[in-house]
Amino acid sequence: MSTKTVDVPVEKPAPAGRFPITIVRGSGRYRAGQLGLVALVALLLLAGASAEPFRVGQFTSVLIFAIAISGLNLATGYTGLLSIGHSAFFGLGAYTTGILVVSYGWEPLATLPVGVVLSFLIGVVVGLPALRIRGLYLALVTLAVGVAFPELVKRFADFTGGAAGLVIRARQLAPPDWTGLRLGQRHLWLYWLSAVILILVLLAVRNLTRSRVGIAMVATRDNEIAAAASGVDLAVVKTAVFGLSGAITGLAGGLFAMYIGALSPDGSFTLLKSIELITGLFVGGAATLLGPVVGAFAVVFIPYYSADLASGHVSGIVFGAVLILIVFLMPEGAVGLLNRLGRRIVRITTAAETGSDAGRSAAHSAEKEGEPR
Amino acid sequence: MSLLEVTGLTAGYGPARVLHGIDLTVDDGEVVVVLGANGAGKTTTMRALAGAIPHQGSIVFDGAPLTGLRPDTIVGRGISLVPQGRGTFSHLSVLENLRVGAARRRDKAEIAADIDRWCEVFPRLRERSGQEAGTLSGGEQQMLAVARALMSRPRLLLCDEPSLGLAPVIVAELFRTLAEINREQGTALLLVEQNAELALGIADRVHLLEVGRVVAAGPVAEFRDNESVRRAYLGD
Repeated sequence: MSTKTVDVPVEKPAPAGRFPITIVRGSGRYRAGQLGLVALVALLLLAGASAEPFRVGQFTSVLIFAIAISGLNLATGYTGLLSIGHSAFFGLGAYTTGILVVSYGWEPLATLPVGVVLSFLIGVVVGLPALRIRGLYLALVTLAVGVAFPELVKRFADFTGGAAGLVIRARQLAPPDWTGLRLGQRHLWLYWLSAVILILVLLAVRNLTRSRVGIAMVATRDNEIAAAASGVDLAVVKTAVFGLSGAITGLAGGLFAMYIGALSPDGSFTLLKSIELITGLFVGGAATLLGPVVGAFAVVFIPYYSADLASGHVSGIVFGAVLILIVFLMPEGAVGLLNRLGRRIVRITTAAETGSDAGRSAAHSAEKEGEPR
Repeated sequence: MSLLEVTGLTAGYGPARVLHGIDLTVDDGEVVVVLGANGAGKTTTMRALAGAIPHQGSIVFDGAPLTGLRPDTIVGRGISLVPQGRGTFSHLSVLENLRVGAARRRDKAEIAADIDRWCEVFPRLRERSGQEAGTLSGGEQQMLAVARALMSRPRLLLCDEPSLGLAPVIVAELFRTLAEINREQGTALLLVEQNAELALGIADRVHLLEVGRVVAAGPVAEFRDNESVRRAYLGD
């Protein structure tokens, strides 16, 4: 790749007043915008639910991947800790749900918190090496975790079903009575469940990344030595981030088990899954709130349609070519690009920032909406 | 007893030893400049003091040993580093950079007041408060790095070649501000510099560093008159 073809203009944001549209946080227009956004999301979700069952299933896997990639985004996007082992968290969540439902007759929904807690704990443990090593060396450790997971599943076959797999009976995955959905409407139940959980995860990620912990995460990624020298406790930030990151991806795994109904170690929990999550993250936009959602659409639908264009290995090549094209055209990811373009047109600001006393009041709140970091 | 007392400090990178036993002191409220050529060990000294690299020897700050403590703990003790090459967080806004500087503090109102104070001292930072640090000029980033380091309310501020890569007029302004901060807040300063002219202007005492050793130390006046120092560091 020659440097001259990748043209990422370094923007110098103009001072206030030169933006075509300025929206003050908390104003009527800002509220209207928020309401409009909520209505749009609701409409899109309703439209998705009214599609044929096969499509609803595809959309559900998009929602589940979006959750998984959001988890990865915390470690790899915001904190700069590249993980090639997130397939293990996805698998841990999936197998936790699978085993508790199949062997212990748990209600599927009740298994999700267990998977989250387990994934969090394992995430903290996997994050420990990050205290001593960085960059590609850390990636290698996570790679080892990703490689080990399917092997461990096979090794403890009594427990996990081993290479033969683990099948959850359809009746055990029936929608709960309170939903009013019939057994045949399982696809709708999982669609809405995944949608609600994704929304909750996105809200949590949004709040986290704007908090003091969130800015410490980005500071750690941008300049580790300066972050530590500013008083950021790298040990706490890195292990907590890895734990949270693993927990969210594990949550997605639990949903995936409910969605797919049959688990096998070589199916969806190999390194290939990790690569898919990383691909989705960078195509959608690392360190952006909505990048994982766009990325999830990409990793579900691009292979699906490239299989239409060509068959067998050729479809894989088409998929690869499309990915290269996307990364080439949008090095900061789709959402990163949109954010950059959007900030030229719309500026969202706090009331104080437009006045003279910028420092004091704005110090309490983060600045722009869903901005890439 | 001095605020900072360093005795026999050795440090390096892997097998390469850079510091061969540094002795140096900084008194409360004092401005001390460490002069030395490229490779003399100035940056390594600063990194060791900030706890960013492994080191041996004794570092005593305010009567308590610092050797072996983590960087963030050392910040808590009252030492703050302005790293070489500024080291601002390029994807965080100016305000967020300042908030990271207060990472160990929990007094929200006081943090906001401090942000306000440093935006008063460095008006450019207020103008650019919502902008990502990566979009600032070199001089603005250096001001941000200093302001960020001050957000932890240090008793000793370590500045690693703050003049590096800045236009002379900006450097002069920066040193004026540093002197002001020292006068008004009583913050002790330890500056390492290659370019001595301005640093000597605000310093009380000087240490001369050569290949990992302090070869001379004393009040500024002595050094201004010293023939070899003039030739080596003041370009006469």
